[in-house]
Amino acid sequence: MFEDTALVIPVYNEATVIKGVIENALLTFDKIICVDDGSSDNSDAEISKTGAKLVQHAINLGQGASLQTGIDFAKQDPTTKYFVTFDADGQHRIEDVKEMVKYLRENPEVDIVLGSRFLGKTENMTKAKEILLKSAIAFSNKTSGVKLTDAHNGLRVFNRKVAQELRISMNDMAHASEIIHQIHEKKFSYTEYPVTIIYTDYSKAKGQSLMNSINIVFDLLIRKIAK
Amino acid sequence: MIIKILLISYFILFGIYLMFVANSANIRAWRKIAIFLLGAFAIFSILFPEITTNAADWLGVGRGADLLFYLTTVAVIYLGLHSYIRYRQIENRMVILVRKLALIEANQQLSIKEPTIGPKDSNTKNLPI
Repeated sequence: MFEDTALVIPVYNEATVIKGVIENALLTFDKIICVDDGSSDNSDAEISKTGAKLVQHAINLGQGASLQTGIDFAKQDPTTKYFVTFDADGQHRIEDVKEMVKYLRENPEVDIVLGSRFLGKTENMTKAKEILLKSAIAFSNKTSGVKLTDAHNGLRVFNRKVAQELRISMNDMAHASEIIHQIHEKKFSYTEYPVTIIYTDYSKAKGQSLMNSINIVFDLLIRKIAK
Repeated sequence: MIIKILLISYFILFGIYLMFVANSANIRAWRKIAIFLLGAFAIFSILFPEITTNAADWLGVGRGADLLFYLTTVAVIYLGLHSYIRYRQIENRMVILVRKLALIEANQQLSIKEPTIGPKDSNTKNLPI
């Protein structure tokens, strides 16, 4: 049912959870591409135990670079029409991915569907995290020309056109804002879809800190000069 | 105050320079001229220490030491941004290499025919600043 869909999962030191996340996703999706971003734990061995395809960075490059590698690998398969970016820590629900892919199929004029926590429900989000995300969204809407309710959601589904044209050059976490910029620049038609994020203690511990959002803003500003 | 005009135009020119790094042969030539002038200025200011003071007076700076301090600040800022840009370029090249290797390895395991690595990345171009 989802032979035309490929999941791209960037993995960095997720050995404790990655196998479970993949096995759960494999119940619905056949094509799963895990990009092991030079993990120092045994994430690669855990991925190899599953039916997911393993693409491995020799050294750690960052999540943005992993996504681009995963997309490059996925688009080699001409039968893949839809590409999904999916977080490795188990915070996304497969149900939401299914709905988003269906939405793209039914609305071929839409190029990319972005998951939004604030249209959907969010389980166990801390107040500090909410304030941080809301300010990131305000900043993003101001600078990018793309109006969204959620700016840093790892769950996205897009078609082959986006997979071909998207070029993620921000290797670290700033890639989320970069993707939004490119939606504007390359005039992809986009829509948001309500998704539920499951904040477990594990994903909370790995989440972005306040200081990291300062890095993101700095990188976006310097990118305009150093391009 | 001439020093204010000079410092401000330095920052404006530096900004323009960053935006149009393309003409790199010219920039390399200008940098060599700048290094030569700086060297000459250094030697003269050692031989005739009063010239830094004279230069400072002429530029509207209080003391020769202040002038040197301003010039050092300008040089440090240049160095910092230059290194940052260079670092990003090297990092981008490394990303391209690692990605290519990752795709080749993954494709070998799957024994898919030709690895297609996407369009040529514009970041690969050599920018000798």
